[in-house]
Amino acid sequence: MAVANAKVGVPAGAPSSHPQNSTLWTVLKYLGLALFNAFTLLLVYAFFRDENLGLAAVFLVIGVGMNTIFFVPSLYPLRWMSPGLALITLLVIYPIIYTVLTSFTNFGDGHRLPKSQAITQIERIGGFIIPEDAPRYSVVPYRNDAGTVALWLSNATETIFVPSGGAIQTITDPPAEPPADYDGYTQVPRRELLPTLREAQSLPFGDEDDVITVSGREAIRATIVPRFDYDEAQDAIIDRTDDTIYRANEKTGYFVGPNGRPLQNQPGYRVGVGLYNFERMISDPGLRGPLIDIFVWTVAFAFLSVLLTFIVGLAMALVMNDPRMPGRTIIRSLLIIPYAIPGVISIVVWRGMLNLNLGVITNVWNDLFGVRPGFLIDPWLAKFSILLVNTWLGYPYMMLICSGALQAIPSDVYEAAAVDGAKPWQRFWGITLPLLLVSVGPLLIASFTFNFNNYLLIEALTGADAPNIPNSPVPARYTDILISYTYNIAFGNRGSDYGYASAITIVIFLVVAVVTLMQYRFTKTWEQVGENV
Amino acid sequence: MLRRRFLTLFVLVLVAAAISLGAVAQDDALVIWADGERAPLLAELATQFTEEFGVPVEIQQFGLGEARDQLLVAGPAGEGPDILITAHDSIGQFVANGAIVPVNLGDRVSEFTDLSIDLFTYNNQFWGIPYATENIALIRNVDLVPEAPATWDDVRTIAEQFKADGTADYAFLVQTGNTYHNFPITSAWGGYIFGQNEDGTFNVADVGLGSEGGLTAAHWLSGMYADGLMVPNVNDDVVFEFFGAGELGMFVTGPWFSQRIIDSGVNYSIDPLPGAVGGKEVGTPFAGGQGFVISAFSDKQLEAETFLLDFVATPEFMQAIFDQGGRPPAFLAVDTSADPNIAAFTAAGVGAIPMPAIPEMAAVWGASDAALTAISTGGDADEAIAGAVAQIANAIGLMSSTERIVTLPGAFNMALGCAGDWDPACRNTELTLQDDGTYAGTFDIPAGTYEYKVAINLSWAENYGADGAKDGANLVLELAADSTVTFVFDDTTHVVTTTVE
Repeated sequence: MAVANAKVGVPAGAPSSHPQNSTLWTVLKYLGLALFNAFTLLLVYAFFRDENLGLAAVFLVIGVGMNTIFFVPSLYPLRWMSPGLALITLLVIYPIIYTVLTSFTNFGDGHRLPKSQAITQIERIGGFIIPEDAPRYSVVPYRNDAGTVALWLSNATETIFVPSGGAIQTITDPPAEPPADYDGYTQVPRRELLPTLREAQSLPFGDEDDVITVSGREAIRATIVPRFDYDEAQDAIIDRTDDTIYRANEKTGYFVGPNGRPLQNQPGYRVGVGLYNFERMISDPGLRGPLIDIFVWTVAFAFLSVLLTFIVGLAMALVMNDPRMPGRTIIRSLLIIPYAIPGVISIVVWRGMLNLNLGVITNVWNDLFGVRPGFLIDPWLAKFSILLVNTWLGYPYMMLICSGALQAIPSDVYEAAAVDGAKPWQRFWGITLPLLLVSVGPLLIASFTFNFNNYLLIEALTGADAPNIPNSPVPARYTDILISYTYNIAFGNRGSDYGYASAITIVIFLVVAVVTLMQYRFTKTWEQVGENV
Repeated sequence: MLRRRFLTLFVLVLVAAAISLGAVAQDDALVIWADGERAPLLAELATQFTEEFGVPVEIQQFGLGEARDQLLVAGPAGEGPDILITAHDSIGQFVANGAIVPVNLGDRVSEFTDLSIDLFTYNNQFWGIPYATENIALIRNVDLVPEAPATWDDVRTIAEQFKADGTADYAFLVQTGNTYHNFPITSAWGGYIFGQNEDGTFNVADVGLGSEGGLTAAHWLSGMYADGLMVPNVNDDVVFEFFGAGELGMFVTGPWFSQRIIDSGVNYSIDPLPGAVGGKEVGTPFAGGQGFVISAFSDKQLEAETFLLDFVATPEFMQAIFDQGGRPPAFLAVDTSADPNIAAFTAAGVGAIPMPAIPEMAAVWGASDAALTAISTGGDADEAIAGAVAQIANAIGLMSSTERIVTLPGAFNMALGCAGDWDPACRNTELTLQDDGTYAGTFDIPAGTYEYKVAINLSWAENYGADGAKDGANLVLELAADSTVTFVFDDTTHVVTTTVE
């Protein structure tokens, strides 16, 4: 349509009822697309320049896709989906592909850089070999009208002056400060000091037998060579101090010396390691040890969280749904407060209230019963505390959705039940609950999935205080759920090992996917129940 | 028509692209990443620098941890800073990733405290300009505990006395499950984190938490908790709450809480940490430090070095940082007389042990914290520490597993000068990587029949036996006479071949 109806530069006889409007609209549309294309191309170029080919490809795909949708009339309806599609490509599909690809590499600390960049860094970090007995001078640069650079060099023993390409002049009885002018040369002003020094690094000073080299902010009376250089023929870095050869090892992503050790104080590079990360996962004692206990607790935690929040939320909703309840609006608003306060804040407050030594709850308990329960440090009480806090955080949400769903249940069903002589309890089990579950069932599933990965709660409530599972091959807490445990495996105690973390992520993703699929099966059963009611 | 429209479109694209390219073109500013406290100070300095050298300076605010993580991501993409502020224990990670360059201080080394120079030295190279150091000390309520205890046993005696006569709730509390704050107790008896090689680097196979001193310290802790002299679930807020209420005699904290100590209103003293009978005379906490480093991804090394050496490492600026930050200065010329607390913290830091900056430290914190938490709730001290040592070895084994060290633990180890037989951590039996990708080593072994295995990365976590089987049966070496034996290990098949001469 866009192409067919566009009448750029045809002011008269256009079929539209608002011809000028339409022209303006078309121009704006093309301008918008042009800007979008420009921006996309720019990103593609920038990512390509930084050797980030993955993101460059993604933006190229998005750009081409958007233009296709714009110009092919049959794809017109897709236009309304296009921002969503673009964002899904960028934020969901690309990260998944990237994670899978990363899991086959050794990307992580020590191997963050591609090989070419690692070589650049090694050459730069290695610096120069400076002979120990070579005289070193502080530098004051000069320049004459012809632009030739000269250096005024001084150290504790002597002061010399040397123009680029000229002879070295030793200055006897030098002044305390370098003079403003010397031998037709003028001292370079401070503003040009650094650029001049940089220029001087590549200029020849002295003669063949007596070379002066500028290195950084000082000058050295000797030839200096870079400590490391890369020899392409041997695919190795050579340390020029003793000509040690560090061969690139494509298996480990290091430049490895003759003693089998990688180059000290220098980075390795990124290489593909095949299935190594997955093999490592199988041999990782952390994934054998307490994993089953943790999985059971994860499921129990997610299930009980949903159950408890649902029971409390439903009870509240039923009470609030009763017209005889005075002050319903105010109470309902108050009940929603736990939902309105940011979770992190509530959790930290709870953490304080449950503290063994200072917590309000522990103190009251101590006054009443004379003992201080370790709410956060006893294995079972810590689990109890987690459920308690999660119920507090989650019930307002359940109350809200149940209230809505309760209103939607037609009252004639209840009237029919009343005619049949059903008691209130029977009405709840026979009518309210089944009809409610039909509409809130999917939300319960969502809540389950959310709690299955509720990292924040576990970490913020029982972070450092939590009791640990003894004899575990990696640090593990009784309160850990799958996601917090694997996060600690992947990042907590071995720096940043993205390749390995990606492998674990993929496995977790599969577990969550299976659990979710099973839940959907379950939901379908519910829906059938709903149809039968 | 259509063609002309595409042409217009194309031109528009080009124009827009050119404009945007110009907008994002790299500018010439020297970029500095500093934390919230240091950034405003640097801003003044930046103006002077720009006036003098005509180089614009841009100060961007980042927390220390964030700056570290972002440098490692932004640096390789050419977007990072030229200079950044960092804690010294990030240096190991920076160096491993080729993210910072060594700094040549030359004669100016003498302007800094020895401790700060130690902290910024990593693998025998010097990596930054330090401005502050920090360590914890013993904070004491003088009214409750008039004399500073000399040893941890004295601390226990005072605690028992408090319990008997009810002077206050606790004589001493320490942050639960926190290796950093518990370390002075460990080190007082001679416990340590990692052993050191002759060249000063760390031997990560030697975890000192399980050393005799480390275990003694763990037992002391365990006794304190078991007898109700200390309580678990303690954090900074808890110690300050009890201290402020006059219910706590002593605790440990660092200069970052200097003001909070003053605000507690308690008549306090900041003392060196206690030693131990049969151990150190004075306790040794961890030392940490902060300073400026130069990004190795920067193309303005000259500007960055000039800024740091001529503008930052000056008495005036170092004084300004000190006046604001309140941590022991790294620069000797700084006058600390205005803050007596700092002098006391500095005194407590004499002999402090630089916190290892090696990446393997990541494996220590979680495991050691877990052991300390377990001890606080009545866990067996020996078991908890043994568990932590095993966890650390496991984590390190997996961590460095792309950098493989192959050794031959077996019955001939002592003959090769190892401390004991069957020691996977003994490097005397190390096989080195050959050009063909195998690992090989040649040793003189006396006559006899020996069993042995192949261990990877100095632990049993990954080991190979007969026929290259993982965790397989022992390999056997039979020598009729004293021989020179060459072992070749193929890391793909995991099979060992031996050649006897």
